[in-house]
Amino acid sequence: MQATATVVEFPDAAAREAAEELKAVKAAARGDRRAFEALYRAHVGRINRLCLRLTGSRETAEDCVQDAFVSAWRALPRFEVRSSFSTWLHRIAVNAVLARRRGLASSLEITVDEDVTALDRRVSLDAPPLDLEAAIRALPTGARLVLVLVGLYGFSHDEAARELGIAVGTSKAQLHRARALLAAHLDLAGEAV
Amino acid sequence: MTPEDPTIGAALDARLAALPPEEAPARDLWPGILAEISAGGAGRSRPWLRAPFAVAAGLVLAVTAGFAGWLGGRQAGLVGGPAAGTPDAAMRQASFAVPAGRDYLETRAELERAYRERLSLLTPAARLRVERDLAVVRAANEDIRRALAADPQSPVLNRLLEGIWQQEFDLYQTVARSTDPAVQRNRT
Repeated sequence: MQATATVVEFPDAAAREAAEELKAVKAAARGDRRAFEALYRAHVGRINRLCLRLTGSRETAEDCVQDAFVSAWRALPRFEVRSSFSTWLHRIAVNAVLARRRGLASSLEITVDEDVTALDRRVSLDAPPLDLEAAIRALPTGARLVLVLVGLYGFSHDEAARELGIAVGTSKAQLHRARALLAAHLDLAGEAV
Repeated sequence: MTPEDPTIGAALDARLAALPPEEAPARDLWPGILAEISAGGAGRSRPWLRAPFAVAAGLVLAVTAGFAGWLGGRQAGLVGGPAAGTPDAAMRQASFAVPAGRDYLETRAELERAYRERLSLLTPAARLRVERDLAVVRAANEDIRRALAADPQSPVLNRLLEGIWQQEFDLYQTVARSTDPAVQRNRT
């Protein structure tokens, strides 16, 4: 009986939550800063995690989170309520990270000096060997960005390539490379046996 | 050992799917965001201006709010001192929406004079804290003024400057309110 009640109540709770969020989004779009703060509190953990994964640096990630929410505030009047606020905010955060990277004139393409041992060297220096987040942070930049966008946040290769300014083929190659590096680092072959 | 192997690929996918979706930042970023959206309003600001001033403005908000709360809790620690002949009215009434002109500069100088006198009523630790916070406010003020010299018509910079000035006056007022009991005691 209890399990049935849970199943029945969950959609209502989720719908209520969505309705509350939509109300906050509309209020924030009209300039209500308290409503925007509520949205910030509700989403900052996820956005920070995304930025942290994309940048590999806590400090830079926090700057990007701040940029993202400021950009979101400015863009809110143009937000279309039929789309998910969370998805929209994630896109803005990705743009904030990439804008910051472009400002630093960084290259996202594979470079010849990023060999497959780079991950092992970096992880062994500053993280426990089986910490997957640390392993992701230690991936070569191009591989990390594609893995995070496509492998973790559901971007298509077309979308990731567009966001990152790389070819679709490069995006696919980077994902393959990232997964190979992670699998090797985590010794998944041994685990699978 | 490649992720093309279905078993390895599935194991990796399972690990990735199990990663926690959230991680709160180490510090609360809201004060900085609030400072920036309050200063910037709608529309885009120039990226080269945003980063340093957002940090400065956020820091100013944080230190001022932090100081106000901290000082409130330390009222009992105030050190009694000689009666200060301060222009209390000016300190209490200070609030300038548009800082400009000779009147403003005179009043500001008077406020600063009063503030210096009131400082002697604070404990050494409180005084140190106030001076440090004020230094942050003034540094932000200087940054914005330098940027304004290059772009005097920038509405974003002008609003930021206005906000920073208000922060400075708020700090003076906090000192005035916090030292009022000691001043009253010394007068009676």
